[in-house]
Amino acid sequence: MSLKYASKISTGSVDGTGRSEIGCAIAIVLERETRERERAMGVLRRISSRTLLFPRVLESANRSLNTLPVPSTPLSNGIHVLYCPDSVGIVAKISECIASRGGNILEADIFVPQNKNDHSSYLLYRGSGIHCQGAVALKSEFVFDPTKWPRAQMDEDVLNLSKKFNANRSVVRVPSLDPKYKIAVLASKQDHCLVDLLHAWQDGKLPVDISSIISNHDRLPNSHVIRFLERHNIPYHYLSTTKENKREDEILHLVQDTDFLVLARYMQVLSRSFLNRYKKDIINIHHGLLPSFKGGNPSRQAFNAGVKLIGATSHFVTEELDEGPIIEQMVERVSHKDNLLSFVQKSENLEKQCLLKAIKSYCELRVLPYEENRTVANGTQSFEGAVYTHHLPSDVMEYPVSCSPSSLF
Amino acid sequence: MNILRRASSSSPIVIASMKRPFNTLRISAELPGNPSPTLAHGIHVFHCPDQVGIVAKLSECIASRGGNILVADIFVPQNKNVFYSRSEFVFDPIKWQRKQMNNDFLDLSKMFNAVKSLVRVPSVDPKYKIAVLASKQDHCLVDLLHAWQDGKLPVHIRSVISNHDRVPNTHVIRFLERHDIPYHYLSKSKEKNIEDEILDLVQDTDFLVLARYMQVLSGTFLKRYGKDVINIHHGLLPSFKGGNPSRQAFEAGVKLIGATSHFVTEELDGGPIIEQMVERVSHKDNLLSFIQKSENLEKQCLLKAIKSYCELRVLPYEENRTVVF
Repeated sequence: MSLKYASKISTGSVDGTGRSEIGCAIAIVLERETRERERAMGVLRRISSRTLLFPRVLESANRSLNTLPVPSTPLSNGIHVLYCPDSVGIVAKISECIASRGGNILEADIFVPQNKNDHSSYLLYRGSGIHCQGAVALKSEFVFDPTKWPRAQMDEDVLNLSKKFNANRSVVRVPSLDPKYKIAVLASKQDHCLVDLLHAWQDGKLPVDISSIISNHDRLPNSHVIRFLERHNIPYHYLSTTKENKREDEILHLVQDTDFLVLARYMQVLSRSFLNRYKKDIINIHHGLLPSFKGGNPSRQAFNAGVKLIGATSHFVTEELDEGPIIEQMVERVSHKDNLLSFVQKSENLEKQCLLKAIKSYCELRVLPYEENRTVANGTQSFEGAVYTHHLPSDVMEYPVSCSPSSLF
Repeated sequence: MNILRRASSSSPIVIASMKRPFNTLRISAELPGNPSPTLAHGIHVFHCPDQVGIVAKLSECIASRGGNILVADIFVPQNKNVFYSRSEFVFDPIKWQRKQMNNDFLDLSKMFNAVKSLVRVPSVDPKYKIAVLASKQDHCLVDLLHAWQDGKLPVHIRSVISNHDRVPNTHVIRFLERHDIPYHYLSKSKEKNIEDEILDLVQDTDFLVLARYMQVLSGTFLKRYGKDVINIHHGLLPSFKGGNPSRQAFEAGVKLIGATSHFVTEELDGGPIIEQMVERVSHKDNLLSFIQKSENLEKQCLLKAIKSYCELRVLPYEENRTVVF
């Protein structure tokens, strides 16, 4: 694929009044032969002609389009994420697939990581024709008519695409139809993150199903958390831990039926064996700006270090403590006026926001693995890349000392 | 009010600007609005063991000499017996001579057993003399020089010292020539140790600025130099100490990168932090954009640190921290 830069294709969205703007704001940087351009244009032309099939468009159009039926079912939102080796034509095929089923793409984000050797990426930019090796992540959000494109058919279509492109990962999700992600939340004594998470879930801000809370700290029946959980019928499992026994078998048993785990200030380290056996993603929040201040009491570490900025980091859990791919980071200023207490308070505030953001992004399929220890993640814009990790090769060239572009030519 | 009446009665300027009878004296806090060419601006910082009455004595001292406090920052950390203050005031240099001012504050510092008592009148006192050390990378150096040229850096640059040779027609060399600032290329001569060479060159400076100087200064050098050395590190300390922090950050997959300016101690990138700045990065950034963002932050962060230092805003706090007013 010739797309080299993250780009956003968005068409006008259909708002509540039924009006829509048929305008394609395209900002793709095409750097290859013209036929790529033509192919893309062809797709877009087809997409825009298909949008005329939408009755809402018909309603708002002040002209006569007398060939269009009125749908009886409302439209659904779908999200598709594809992560596969790069090749020419991926965007074309995917958008064709969606369009052929009457789907209207609202947002699409494509991310093709540049070649690791940045020299050659410059040469590439100047059109030397070096093919960009690597993987591509593509995320599209679209509306479709579920009667015209049944869920099972969608699964099959997406499966075909993923086979065709040898995808590492291909996920399609229709939030209104598919079951919510099931999570279990692990916590210890500190419950500010847990409480904030529960309240956000209650407010409908966290589109998950909380299957249980697991903690190595016992909570009394009249504590806020326990009463909250009882009201909502969420079981609370107290599993005390010791140095010798981390109760991992029992935890595994309890979380069998979850899609991912959230560690909301769970202070025990999960072993490699647990991670291998659970296999699915685990999101943790660390109240420090990783990789600074790993381990315990990062607020105190930060306070003693005299930093002027403190932060929180949400990341995937790997066997190394506080090491996994980072999903989101947030930061706040501190000064000499802050004491340890205010450091801790600011940290906790950041933690809550950061964890929530990470979980939301994950549920919206915005987080994908990328490279060894990184994530492609984007909150407010349309696309967050993937957290995909494979190590950088050790023979990567040392970056030149003077790195302003002008000095390379 | 008594003090103010006394101040105004002894100050001819106040009388001159008064257009009504004496007993309807205006609060002289309004004075700063009236530009008076003869008033000077002073800064005083004070660091001493805490006790009752310090602020009272300090402000009385300033007021008794006709000074008008414009800004005062006081910091007394909890459970610690230490007091920090920084005040900015305007005064009439005829009424309160510089020597007298020094004596007054010296008395106060003795009274309170001060660790530090500094007074500075930027318009009268000589500018801080600095030497800037740099290596091959010159974005920080160039930015510093331009800011200085624009009058944004209230220092006197004695020299630029580098372990990288620059040819005569480079921007830096031509700039320095235009402004008569010597450029010293530290050749690796066998007779003289590099640090001895630097020490000779920086004898007559108030502090040093390392603008991406890539050599580590030894503990011996720091002891012999004796004065403050400010460094810029293009990483958010304590993350990514050492070389190539942008690359380290890139490989670590962080979502925020930053720059840190700090005082130099024996430990590499370990000294008390003065200022930190941060910027968001994402998967869309490659190593080049990481570096560009870092460099941009570095320049701003270093400039801010130097300015704060010159304005007497930075004070040592505990072992490894700073108070930055």
